[in-house]
This record gives sequence, C-alpha cells and structure tokens, in this order.
Amino acid sequence: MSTVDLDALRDHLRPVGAALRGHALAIDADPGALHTLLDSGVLPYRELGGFPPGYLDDPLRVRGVPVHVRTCVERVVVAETLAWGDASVVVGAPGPSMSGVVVDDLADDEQRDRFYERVAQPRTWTFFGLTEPDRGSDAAALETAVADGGPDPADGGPVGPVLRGHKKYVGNVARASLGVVFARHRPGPLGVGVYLVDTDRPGFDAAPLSTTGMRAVQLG
Amino acid sequence: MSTDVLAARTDPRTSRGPVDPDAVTSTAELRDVAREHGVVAALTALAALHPVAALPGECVLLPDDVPPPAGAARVGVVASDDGALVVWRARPGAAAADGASTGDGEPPAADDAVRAADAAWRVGVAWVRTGLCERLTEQAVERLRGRSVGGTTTVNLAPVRLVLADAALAHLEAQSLLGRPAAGRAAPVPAATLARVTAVLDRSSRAVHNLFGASGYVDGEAARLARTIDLLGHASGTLPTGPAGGREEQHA
Repeated sequence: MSTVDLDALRDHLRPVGAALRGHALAIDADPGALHTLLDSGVLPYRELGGFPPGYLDDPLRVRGVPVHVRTCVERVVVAETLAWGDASVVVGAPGPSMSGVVVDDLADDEQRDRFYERVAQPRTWTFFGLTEPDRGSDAAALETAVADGGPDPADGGPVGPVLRGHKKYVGNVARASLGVVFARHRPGPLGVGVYLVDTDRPGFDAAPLSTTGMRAVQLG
Repeated sequence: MSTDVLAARTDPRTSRGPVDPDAVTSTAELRDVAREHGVVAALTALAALHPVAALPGECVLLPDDVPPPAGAARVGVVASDDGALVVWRARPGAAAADGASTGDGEPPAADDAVRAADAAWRVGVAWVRTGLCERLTEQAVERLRGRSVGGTTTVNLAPVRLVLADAALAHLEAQSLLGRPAAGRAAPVPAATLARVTAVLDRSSRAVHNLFGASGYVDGEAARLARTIDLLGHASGTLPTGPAGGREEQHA
C-alpha cells in the first residue's frame, strides 16, 4: 500500500501538466522544442523519473514528504496527470523510463548502479528495444540475437558476444545514451534475454521516424 | 465452423467500387465515396452537393481545388492519406457560405439560411467521416491479417475482434443516427444527434487506430487517415455553441 497521498501528488503536478500543455503545440511542430521546455525548468523530469533513493540530491517532495515515483500507482498518477498536458512529453522526457523497470527487476547490483548513475546525469535519455519490424506484437518471435563475434580482424583475438538485429518503433532511441535490448540467446520462447546497451558502442545506429503524433517521443 | 477472419479481400486502398464520386446524388452516398475513394473525392462530391459553408470563425477542410467560403482565411494544409486538404477559417463576425456574399465584399451576418447551409455541410462531413472510419477499419484488418502473435493471426485474437466488432457497430450506429435522407437533400438532424455521431466515430476511429500499434504514429497512410478523421470531427463534428447553436432542439 502506498504511503503517498496520491491526491496531493496529483494536485502537486497539475500546474506542471498545465505548463506542458502550453508547450505542446510547439513541440508537436518541432520536436526539438522539447529542449525549450526542459530549459524552462517547469518539468522536474529527474524527480519524476523513478530513480531509486540515493541517485538524486533532492527527490520530489509533496507536502514535505519525499516521493520517489517508484510504485506502479505513483507512476500512473504522474503519467495520467502530466499526459493531460502532453502525453508525448511524458514518454519523451529524459530518464530511466521503461528501461528502469527492467533494470530494477533483472539487473545485478553493478548493472543497476551503472545504469542509474549514468541516467541521473541531466538530459540523459534511455530506450526500450523490444519491437522489431513486422514483429511488433509478437515479442516471443523476435529475431535479434546474441552471437559469437568471431575473431577480431585487428589482432585475431576473440571479439566476444555480439548483438545482431533490427529494432523499430523505439521511443527516444536516436538520442538515448543507453537502454535495454531484448534479444535471443537460444531458440524457443524462453530463450530471450535483456541486454544493457550503451549507444556509443560500435555498430549501433538509430534515426527518428517521421511521425504524425506523439512527436516528442522521437520514435526510431 | 470456422469464424476466422481470413477470407481474401481486395485492397481497400486501391480498389474502386461501384460508386462514381462524380455522380453522387444524396448525402448518404458520400459514405461510400469516402470508404472507396478517400476523403478528397468525398469532400469534392459533398461540395458539388451542398454549398461549402462555415459560420463565423469556424473552420472547414477542403481539397485544394474546391473554393472556400467567401472571405475565409487560409489556415494551413493537412496531408491526408490521399491528398492535401486546405484548412480555411471563416472570417470572425461574418457568416460565410459559397455564393452567400452580399456583393459588396462583406459576407452577410449569420442568418437562418447560412446556418442551414453550415448544418447541411456538417451532416455531409459526418457521412464522409463514417466512410473514412470504415476505410480505416478495412486497412487495419488488412494489416493485422498479415501479422501473427504466438502463431495466431493477429486479426483473429479475441481483443482485436472485439475492437473490430465495436467499430462495425459504431459505423452502423452513425448511419442509423444520420438516417438515409432523400436524394440530394439532408434530412433534419438534431444537434445532439450530430454530436452523438461525432462522439461515436471519434471513439471508433481512435480504437481502430490503436490496432496499428506504434506504426500508427508513423507518417503514412493509416496515420494520415486517422488524423484526417480526427480533424474533420474537430472542424465540423458539432454545431457551434452559442445563441443559435448546440441545442437539442436545433436541427441540422
């Protein structure tokens, strides 16, 4: 049971939702205008990002009570209240987003700490690499796979595991610093794993798609 | 007995049905034109059937080659799934209907004739939206027929079929509410009924749009069609509120 007063949380965020609405049309016309919103400081995206305690200097406080936005119901209240202003910014804001949920559930301590230390830096986006072209709703059939990279052409030594595949319809991916990629490590429905990937790794390439809605998400 | 939705169908995006958009004689036929030929042909046929009309400050969406109401200002252009639509806004404080100018450059104040023209246009748009919603649904079925989840064709998944069934009911409800007017003339439609049709089609088109998943946001046929349905509803879905509009007893 949540100890957070959800009505108070909703009231606290209503002005933020109103501010998002004020920026919504400009962001829809030019997704780059999201930076103008972030510059304005009206969206406390880090405090709303769902960081575990210890990664932010000062969490969101509602009536003096710290709220870390870690529970499902807190996340729902935040998303619902802010989506009244601009749903695309709710999904397109920097922060752990859906990757954070996966990291919370599946990562070890070192991975979790590395992820949140990195994402706690201002304007750090993450991505959630599940959907594949023509496999949108069929996650168990995904084809991205972890394979042996073979020998390194430079020195003949082992390259180690390599992720190979294509993802599509991934929010924030073209500007993300890191994220999670769902990939197959063996055949069968249980042969799918999740891999934490830095986007500066060789071979990673992403570009935003042209969309008609939710443009702040920069779907790629 | 199999109830799987697998029967082969023609591609609704390229097929041409028996309805000739140049020979439309009743508002109800606009639905067929919209479903089979798209929004540009349907709005062009509507403009041939009724004068393009808009009350002061209201917007209309028109194909590029359909003249706007007198005195209307061009707001912008929207890319629909089968061509560009120009958004026009009637001059605030002056009613506008094609051919309704006073001749001195000043459109007349809104009167019953102009309101009736505006209402007839909105009813025509409602028929167009009904056909466009059916067009979007057909595209969704075509798309999901070629996809699968866990070995099951997506269009046959129970949640998907429920959405499609609800959409079919919504399309029937819209037709029922709008009625089948006599050729070339819209029957009276109460403002509340028109608003109901708009709400039914809004819910239906958005639910069907969701069937496209993330691909529905990518700038393409389905996204443009869904947006066109939405914008037509915004512009013409309800009679404007005010002293003479939006009341239950007002008839379109």
